[in-house]
Amino acid sequence: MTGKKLTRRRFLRNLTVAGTCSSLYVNTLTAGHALGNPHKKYASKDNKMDMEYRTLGRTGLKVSALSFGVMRLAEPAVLFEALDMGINYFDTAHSYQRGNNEKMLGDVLKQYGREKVFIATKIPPYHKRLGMKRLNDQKSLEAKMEKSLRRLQTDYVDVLFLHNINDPDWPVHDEMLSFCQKMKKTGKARFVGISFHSAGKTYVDTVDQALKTDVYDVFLATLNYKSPKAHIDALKRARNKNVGIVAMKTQAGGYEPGARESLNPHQAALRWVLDREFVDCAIPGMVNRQQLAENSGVIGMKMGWSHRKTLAVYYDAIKERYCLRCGACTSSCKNAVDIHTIHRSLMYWEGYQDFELGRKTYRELSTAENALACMRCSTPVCRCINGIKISERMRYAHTTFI
Amino acid sequence: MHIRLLFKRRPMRLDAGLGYCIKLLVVLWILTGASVVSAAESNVEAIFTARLPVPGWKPEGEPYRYVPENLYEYINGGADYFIAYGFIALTGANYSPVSGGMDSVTVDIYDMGDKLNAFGVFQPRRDSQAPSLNIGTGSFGSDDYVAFHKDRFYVEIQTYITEKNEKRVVKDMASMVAAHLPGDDSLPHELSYFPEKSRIAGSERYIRGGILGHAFLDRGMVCEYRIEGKKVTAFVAFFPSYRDAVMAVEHHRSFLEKSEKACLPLEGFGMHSFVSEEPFHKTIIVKQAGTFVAGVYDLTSVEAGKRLLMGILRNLTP
Repeated sequence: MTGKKLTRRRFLRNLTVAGTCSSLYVNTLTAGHALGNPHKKYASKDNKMDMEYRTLGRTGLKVSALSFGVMRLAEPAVLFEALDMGINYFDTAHSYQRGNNEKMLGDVLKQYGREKVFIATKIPPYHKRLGMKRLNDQKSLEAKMEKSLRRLQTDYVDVLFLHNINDPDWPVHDEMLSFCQKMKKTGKARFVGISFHSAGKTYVDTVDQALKTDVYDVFLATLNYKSPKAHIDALKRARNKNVGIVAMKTQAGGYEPGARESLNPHQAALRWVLDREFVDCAIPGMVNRQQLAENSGVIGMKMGWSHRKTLAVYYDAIKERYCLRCGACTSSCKNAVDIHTIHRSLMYWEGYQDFELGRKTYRELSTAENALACMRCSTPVCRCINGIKISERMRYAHTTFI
Repeated sequence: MHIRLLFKRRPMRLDAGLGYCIKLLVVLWILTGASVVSAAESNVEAIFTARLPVPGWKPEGEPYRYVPENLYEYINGGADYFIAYGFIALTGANYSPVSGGMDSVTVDIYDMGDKLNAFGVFQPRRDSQAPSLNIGTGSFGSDDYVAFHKDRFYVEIQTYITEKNEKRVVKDMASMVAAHLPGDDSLPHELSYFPEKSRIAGSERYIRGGILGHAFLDRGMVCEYRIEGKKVTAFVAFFPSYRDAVMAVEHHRSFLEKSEKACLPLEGFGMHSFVSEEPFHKTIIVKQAGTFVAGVYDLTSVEAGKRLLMGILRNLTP
């Protein structure tokens, strides 16, 4: 059973051999040109794919619709390849890899030519962790900014974000506003913005509060095909005020459907985001060439009927497996099965593609808590208000992990 | 007759007895393993409840715990990074001075499941210039921050301290945590694949997601060497089976050939090996060995790379 399951990694492996060789061919040809003369700029106009460029709101920056979330990347060669493709907007942060992420990006852009690309970095406005409730003072924010600029080997960033705003009052805090204005005035940041991952009302309130100030030029926000309408409407309001919108977490969940169809759901999910007219660019995180090839495959496409169908199938496939952790099922089991943890075990495998972690989590449950009871249960009464077939999933977990 | 039966039955009893013994041993072994795991977990909890804080400090609320589904609530997008390295749980707590004031210390212990994962998240965050603090297996930090790894744990201690005479607290707390974390101080054994001679200290990395940016070299170690005055990089990728390792070499060869790079046999290294040009990384040599694929890149001299590769291949054990 395990061996037959098609995971994202296996799928990509197959895709690499069977389907994406042609795109890799194009990409690596340009890399080859670069190798021929290491001092030459890595991309020539002829080698660029037909990248789609959009204006990032009031900034006027012409950014590639497919941009690059650098956070987890360890290999600079992937950045060179992205530059070859015409990707020109790179997103990092002060805290990623404790600054080594900014250093890597700085090294690459120094070779490639700083002036040809846009750098976005983020400074955390709160002090360390501490429940993220204590805001930094302006002086320490400025010190962080100086450090980031040194790592990036540049005098300025194109967009500076206040990182991970999870309190709607932060964007209107005097010290935050003063810091942002000073960074713009001194030329250390051409434009400023906020990034936020929050959910529900906090998300909407954050947008509306930030819009009141008229200081922020760009919003970096979670957006995917599962985003609630309230979030989408909030971003539309921002775009109507000419705020640039950068989408992140665009391929929610990372799940692959059980049955394969001809199109890749990750691509459809990304295309869905790029088809929102209020979105200027998306920054999927990429760690290797295959992901870059996969994501670049959506450029130039329009979300057609078949893509919508793919996405619908994808959503259908995951919604029966994706536990929303509402807890409503727990009391419905007549045994003491830990449904929540077993769902989590499955998510580690199916969502994060980490079979070992899934198995380990499952095996930490006692025999009273694991799904052994489900294997013997002939009259399951457990039920999920979101439609997950709990007893089937429990049995599946047991046969998979035990 | 009775004697014959006795002789006939005895071997059966012995078999059954042996079977029971084996089953008992297996059960004991599993129980021991389980108790070790739970002991490790309880030891982590005990650090917060019984060992910390150091004198002069008090806990601020209860210890907190995060798992992969909600880690991003705590460390935002950084959560993806930890999850990719097998993150299991984070246990942490905040402390403040008994004397009052705004100062604070935050201690976060990440359970990464095994030594290699803990090493994997530690190394890229390390400042290569920063000296080791001799805490745990590896460490770096300053007056207001310390990070270290020990066994399956990665630990970060961050402070907000205004009182100069309290600056020592971050290292004191780190030493206290390191001393009481379960496990040992040894490095992951995968590091031993790489010969020590000419290796650049601190350059070792555990990569998940693609060595050289190749998804087909998804997981493995890389480190840098200085050979004949030039920096080269060596890698060992890990695979679940011999077949997977062979397939990875073929994928690599196919990728390079599509890039119009000739893949030539690597003389003296037999099947499933080649020498070619890797985009952005000069000359590369690659060889599959068992469930591993090893290689050296950024080479200007193939011969120097071959000596290093041979040294690595000698160290590879499944």
